[in-house]
Amino acid sequence: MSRLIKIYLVFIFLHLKYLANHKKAFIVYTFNSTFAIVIMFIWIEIAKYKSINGYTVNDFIIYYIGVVLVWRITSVIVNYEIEYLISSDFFILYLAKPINFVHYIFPRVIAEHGILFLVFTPLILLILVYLRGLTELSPISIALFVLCCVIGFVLEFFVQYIISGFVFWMTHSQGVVTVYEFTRAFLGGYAVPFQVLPHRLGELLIWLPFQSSVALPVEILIGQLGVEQVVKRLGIATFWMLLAIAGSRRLWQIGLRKFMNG
Amino acid sequence: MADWIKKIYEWLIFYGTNFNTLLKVSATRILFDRLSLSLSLFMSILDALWTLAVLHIVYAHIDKINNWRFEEALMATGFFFVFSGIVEMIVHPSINFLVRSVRDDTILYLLTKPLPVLVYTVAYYKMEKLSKCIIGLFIVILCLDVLKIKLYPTGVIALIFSIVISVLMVYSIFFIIANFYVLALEGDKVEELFLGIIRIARFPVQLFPEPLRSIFYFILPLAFISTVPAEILLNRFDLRLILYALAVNLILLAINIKSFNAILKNYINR
Repeated sequence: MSRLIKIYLVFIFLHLKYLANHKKAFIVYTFNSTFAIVIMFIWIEIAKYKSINGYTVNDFIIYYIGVVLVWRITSVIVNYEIEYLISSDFFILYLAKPINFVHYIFPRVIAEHGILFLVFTPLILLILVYLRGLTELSPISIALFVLCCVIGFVLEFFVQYIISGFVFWMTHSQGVVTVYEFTRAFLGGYAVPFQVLPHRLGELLIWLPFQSSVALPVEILIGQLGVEQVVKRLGIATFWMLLAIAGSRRLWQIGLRKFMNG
Repeated sequence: MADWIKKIYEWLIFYGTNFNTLLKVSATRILFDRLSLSLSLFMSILDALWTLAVLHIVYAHIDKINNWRFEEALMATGFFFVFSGIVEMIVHPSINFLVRSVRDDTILYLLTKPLPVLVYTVAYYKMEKLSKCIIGLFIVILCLDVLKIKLYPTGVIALIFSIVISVLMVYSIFFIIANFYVLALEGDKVEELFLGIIRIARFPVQLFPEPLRSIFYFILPLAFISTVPAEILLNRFDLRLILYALAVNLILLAINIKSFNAILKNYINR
């Protein structure tokens, strides 16, 4: 375990150096979450006339600023890189090495998202404090928010890793990634907050994995959930995260077997 | 005079034959990957369904937003699908191919070929994205039927004109960004950002508050992607806007040519 931690630290350090050399592209990438703001403006235009299921203009602004933060922290894109590696001759070199392939990819994503977390979180928290959107914030809710972001991030990574593994059977996985992202955006609370949805639909969506990386962290951050709800939904999120880890292991085992046998 | 006609004829035959071969090669490549083809169709349907669902939820709370009813907003969304189908089918793969060939040092090989580089890039089109255009057209026709709108030849001409303008405009913007991207930036993140910005046009700009509406008409002309075509059919358009778009397009085209020449010069002289 300590060997793996050392390997992770080395990879994270190397990737941080890489990011420092490609900082222009990385800065552009950090601002790539415009669509949540767009949806926010549509809701603002409607909420100007009447509140929607108790949501006022200010509530929508606070919710969507939270969404920008959480979406940026938890959204993972690894399929381009994995696809490129699998289709190139280098992939076989990774397989010959003594550690699992996932340990080459995961530290890089941790490095990227660690920076995003450190840069974005204080900025967004300041905006939310200014908008008086964090009246319920306490050390426990901050700890729960961080925990939830970590669960959402790990879940997203392993879902993306599963989708990237489809490349063993098809030429491109981008189509599946896009389908997944659409689904996550709509069913995860990105396009429409759960409270604005019809009550039964909102109740149903908390059982799906998509809430773990969007709605749940945001609702914890802005203090919309009670303790019972937080525990229940964190449990659901953890279950989906473990399922994604186990699923990715199994799928990659089958995929690699197919790859090795030609 | 006869010489000119002969030259034009030879030029057309030369380009036509080469272009036809490139298109056939691309079509074979795409049909080989049938899974991606069917997935693309599924993805387009899902995309349309999500957008429809968001619009439905939004309009469940209000009848009209800035005088736009649900069916009218849906028509603009249909045009967005037609447009983004064209962009994802031709514009995006072509720019991607160009950027990749510069990075992989294969552009020199393309420069030695008899056709201009851009012709080869366009040949890397993605036929599977046609499904998005078809779904977009289906939505537009459905809305036309529901709203009982009759099409007149002048309206159709203005519509085609506006779509061509918007595609050329986005092509130019894409191209300029791609050029700067090759010259100054590395990584695959810039195109993600730009595609993210285009997604704003998924909904008519009338759904946004001012000053965003004016920005999307005049500064970041996303309105020409979906709102203006819908306004043309709804007979609400302003001819001055189309002329403005044409002028912007010409300026972008000029910057486009300049920047492409600069990138080639920079590439050859390095």
